[in-house]
Amino acid sequence: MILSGLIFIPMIIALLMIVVPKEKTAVFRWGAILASVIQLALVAILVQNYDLTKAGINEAAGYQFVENYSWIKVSAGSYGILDISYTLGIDGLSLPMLILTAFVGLIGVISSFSIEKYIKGYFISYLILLSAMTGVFAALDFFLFYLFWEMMLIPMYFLIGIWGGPRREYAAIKFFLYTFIGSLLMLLVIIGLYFSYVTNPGAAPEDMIHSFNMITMMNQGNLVAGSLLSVEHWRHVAFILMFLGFAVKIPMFPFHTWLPDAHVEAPTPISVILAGVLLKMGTYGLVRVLWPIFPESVLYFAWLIALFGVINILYGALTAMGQTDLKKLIAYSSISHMGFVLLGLASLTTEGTMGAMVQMFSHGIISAMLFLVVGVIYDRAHHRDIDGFGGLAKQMPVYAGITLFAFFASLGLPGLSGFVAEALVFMGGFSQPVTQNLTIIATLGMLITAIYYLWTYQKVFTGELNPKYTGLTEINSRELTMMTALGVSILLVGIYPSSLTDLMTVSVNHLNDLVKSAGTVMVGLN
Amino acid sequence: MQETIIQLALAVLILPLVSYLVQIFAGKRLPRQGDWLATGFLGAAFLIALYIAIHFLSAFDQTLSYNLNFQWLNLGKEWSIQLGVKVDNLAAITLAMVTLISFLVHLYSIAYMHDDSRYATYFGYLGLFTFSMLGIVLSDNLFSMYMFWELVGLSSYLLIGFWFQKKEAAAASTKAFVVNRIGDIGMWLGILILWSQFYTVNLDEIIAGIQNGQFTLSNTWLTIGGILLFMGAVGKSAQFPLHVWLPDAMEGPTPVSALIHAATMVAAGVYFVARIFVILSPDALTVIAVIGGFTAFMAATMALTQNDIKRILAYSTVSQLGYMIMGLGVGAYSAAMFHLLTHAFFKACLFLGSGAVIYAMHHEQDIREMGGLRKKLPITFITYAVATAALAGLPLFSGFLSKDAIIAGGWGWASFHGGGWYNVVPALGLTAALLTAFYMGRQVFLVFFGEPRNKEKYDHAHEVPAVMWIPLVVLSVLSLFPLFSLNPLSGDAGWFMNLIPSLQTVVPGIDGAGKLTELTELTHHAHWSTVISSVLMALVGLAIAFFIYMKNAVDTDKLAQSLRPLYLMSFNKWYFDEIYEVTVVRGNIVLAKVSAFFDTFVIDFLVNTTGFLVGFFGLLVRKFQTGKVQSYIAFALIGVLVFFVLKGVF
Amino acid sequence: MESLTLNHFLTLSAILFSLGVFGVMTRRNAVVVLMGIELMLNSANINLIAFSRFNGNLDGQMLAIFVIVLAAAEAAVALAIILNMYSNLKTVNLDEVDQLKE
Repeated sequence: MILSGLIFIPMIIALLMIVVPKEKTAVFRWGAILASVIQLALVAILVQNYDLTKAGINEAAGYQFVENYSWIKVSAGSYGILDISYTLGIDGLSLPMLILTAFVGLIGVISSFSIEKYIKGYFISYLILLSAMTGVFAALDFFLFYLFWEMMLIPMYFLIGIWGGPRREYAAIKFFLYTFIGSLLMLLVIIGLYFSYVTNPGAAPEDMIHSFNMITMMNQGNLVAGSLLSVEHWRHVAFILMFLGFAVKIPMFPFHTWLPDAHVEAPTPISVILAGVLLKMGTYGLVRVLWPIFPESVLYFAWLIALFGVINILYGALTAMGQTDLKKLIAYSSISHMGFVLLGLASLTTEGTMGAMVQMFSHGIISAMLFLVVGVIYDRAHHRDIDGFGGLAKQMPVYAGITLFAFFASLGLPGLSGFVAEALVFMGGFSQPVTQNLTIIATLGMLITAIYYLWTYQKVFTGELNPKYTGLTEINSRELTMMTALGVSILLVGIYPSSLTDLMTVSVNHLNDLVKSAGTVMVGLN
Repeated sequence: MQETIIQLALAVLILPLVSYLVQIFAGKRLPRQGDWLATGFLGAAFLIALYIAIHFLSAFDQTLSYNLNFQWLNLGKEWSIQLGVKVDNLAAITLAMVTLISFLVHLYSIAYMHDDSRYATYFGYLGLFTFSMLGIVLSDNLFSMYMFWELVGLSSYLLIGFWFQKKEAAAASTKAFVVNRIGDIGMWLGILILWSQFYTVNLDEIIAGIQNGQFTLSNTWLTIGGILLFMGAVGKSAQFPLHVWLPDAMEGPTPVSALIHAATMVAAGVYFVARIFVILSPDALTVIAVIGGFTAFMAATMALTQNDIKRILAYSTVSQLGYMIMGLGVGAYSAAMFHLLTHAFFKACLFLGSGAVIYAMHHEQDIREMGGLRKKLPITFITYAVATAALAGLPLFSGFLSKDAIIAGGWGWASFHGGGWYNVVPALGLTAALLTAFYMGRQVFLVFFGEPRNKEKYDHAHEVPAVMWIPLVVLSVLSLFPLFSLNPLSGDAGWFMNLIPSLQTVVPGIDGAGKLTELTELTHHAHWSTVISSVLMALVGLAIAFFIYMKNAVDTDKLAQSLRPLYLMSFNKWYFDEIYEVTVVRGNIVLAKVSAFFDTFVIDFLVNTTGFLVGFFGLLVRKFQTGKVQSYIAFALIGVLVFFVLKGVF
Repeated sequence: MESLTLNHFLTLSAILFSLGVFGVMTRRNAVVVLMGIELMLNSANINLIAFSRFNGNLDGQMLAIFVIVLAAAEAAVALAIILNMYSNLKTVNLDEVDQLKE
């Protein structure tokens, strides 16, 4: 019940909020805090009771806190039996994401205290968004997964479209359409998978139970002989389609242009959620679904995935350097950093995959911090033009220090979480012949990242204080609290990465073994 | 004993970190902003380090070393990432050296930085730097070495840009970090090569692996790996072609320059190369020797014409680091390490001395504005003169011992390889010795002798307070020969060269022991000729400086005119900054602008065009929706008719 | 004298249907359009009854009665809509009622 609670408590609180009159702003604010704190507490219970020895991935028994109820079960005649279940469960891949969601979710709520417009609607949307994101990370049934995936879209659309900046409608629609097209591709493959996998492969066609359960699809013994996805090249096609569906969310070059627009227009807390959690849904989809279901395609396309990862890293970094809007710069740096996840996953080594997972978590907290940093200055100066500041370190020394911390975390300074992730990705990528050359090229990203962050810092914070900004106030205690929480976790993961990696070790190794072994078996399928 | 020493070493490592944390979070609220606390921490660290060093010196065992490993990251595989500390002779001596200089710089800064508004933060940054530097010294593995390596870069960034209101300081700090990062990337790739072979980052294990022939790639890869690792040192130790950041780094406070950009951090590169020395292939070492020799010469020529007292010293540092790198490259391992130690003391002394001059002259740094200061600053003058003598390589001073050993090693190496163009490397070193003596002579004569050229500033100058001159005295005493070797003309008999002997390579296919013996023999052979030639060089250099700047035998302006191309080349630092500005910096900006343009006007344009086309198609189709029921019926009817017609046709 | 064959009924029905369609498509007055629809429905009824007669069972007649009832209900609803339309828009001219657009 813990997982259901985790998912639905924000939604229940959101539903309760509907009856509260909209003038009572404190109810909404503290209600949202309450929901987030409960989530965080539940996640703490999860971590407390989590069994580190169980792997999960393609073994139903390896999942923990499982909830499994039959939901929709219809006989469809000669098409077999349609079986949709409400299945939740977590393993080492989803637990860190749940921690991240609950943590960044709470940070986002605190940051949302600065929202002044339609507070009731804002917090209701926010909590529904929170529920949907949590659901994505806990669902084990593809139908349910897709449901939560789409459910996330609607509140996000409104949160950008109503509470956003000047071009919010454009950004919201772009975001919606982009991700929606991505989800459609995903849906297509889900239906294909649904027809191709059954829980009782030997049965007569009308008795076959077509399940949406992901774990069923990860075991190739469940393939229906002669079905569409038992043909190798169709499997590759399905892999590509679904990969594109997730790639939009990551976002992978060249499907990334929604991200800078969405970030620039979204209010600060929504940027935090967007970069901190939402982008991870794409890469989480890769490891949760795509890698175990299509292992042979992963092996087949590994080089291409790594290539796109490296393009993301370098192109994102270079484009970030060419920006003048602080928020856009950080949005492009997100694209660059998510490239490391692709590279790490494509390496198919323990180090690489672990690096990718750590990067997902680490980028979640670092980018959250970066967007908060931008929010602080935007609230005070009402613009984000990098060239329009100057010498702010004099006026706001604490803020400058925090910004420098966030920048260095993002550019991979050892001792902070980003370094652990990048180091592992490089180690993994370099040790594999397939990705070796690409990894060497990717190291250039370390340099470009350093250049644009330090230039930005130099332009904004150093030199003589711009006389326009002698009145700026130092970062306040609410902002400082959020930054401290994020900063401490960045340090923790950076200095003592085992605190995070131990949760994932077994699962990550299992995933790699699965992909490698199943992949080699499957190649001879047809 | 092992445990005690390791614990003490860890205490030395942690103390500066504590100092940093205290200073950053509570420094402002402490009495005197906590300067006593930070200095005290470092003093304590130095005493402990001294104890460790004495322990090693009294044992006097070349192979003595203590290790402590712990598992940092275990990913459930047969390998894991092990970090740890290793204290051996070299680490113990370097530990004592770093903590001593850091302590003296703390002491010195109490007066020098007295009026600064971020006094507490400054001491915090010094603590952070010392912590990271000690981390490099103590690391027994490449991974944590790389981590501390970058942290050193961070603290250097913070300290160079300490006066961030100055545009130049901010730009210099960015430049320093970015240029260092180029080197770091190389180093990181080198680590990756070794990692992908051995799945360990522990240096001893890697060395053992290579020795046992477990390096499955060809020796070319070992050379590439070695050169890549060396790139890290090229960045940090400011070797050609990444030397450009160090002179700019002089924008930082002068004590910082003494600590970081003269004595310790820049020496970290040399220290690192020493640590990986045995796995470097002969080809990699040749590259290292050539780069070192060239840097020594190039930087010395740049120093000739500079007018900023600190910049002259900065180029001199680059040049001296070149010596050390060259020493390693030619296989004069212990000589290079020896020079690392002696150079740290006399160069720190010079920088702190120049700081004293700047302090006394109210932040005047141009040597053309000085003159005759020996009467006003007698202690500073004497210590400065001692350190200069050491740098210039005069006998009886420490610098002579170590520099001489490096050049002798160079000749030995050249004859080992059969002479030819190999002789160029030690020849460059010898020429640099001449140039060094000249520019240091020029500086001393212009600053301390002659008539004051800026009467007003001269009149206000007075000797610096005791907290500033005590470090000078300590450091200048440490620049004298008896501390290192009782024979003033040879360091070979000294304790250092005997405690830290030259190492033999473990690269497979090379007779390491035989090579070492032969090299040592050839080096001994070259010893006396080197002593004579380098003393001669130093004296000639000083004499030229004396005649030009004391006797005014030659008009400097006319000299500059007659050698104008050479003069400009030197004055403009061989135009490196300009070349990099045009190629690397501009290139980067252009690339960034291009990709930003591409993103907005190509990719996003395609996206928006797709959206627009869909909308446009919708507009066309919308015409059919008239809103009139009757036309809908008409369409339906037409549809039915078309259907029937088609049915009839097919 | 030639007896009535099925074709005669079908022809009549077709003529009536066409008249109905013509009315629906060309008339602007909603009431007249409604009459056109009634015409079409009744032409269908003729068909049904004719088939019933010639097939010799009562299925068609039953369906025809169904249609008559439905037509009555439909006419009632449609007239109500027209009345509402008139009271809201002050017109029964279908060309002016294009609220479905947009």
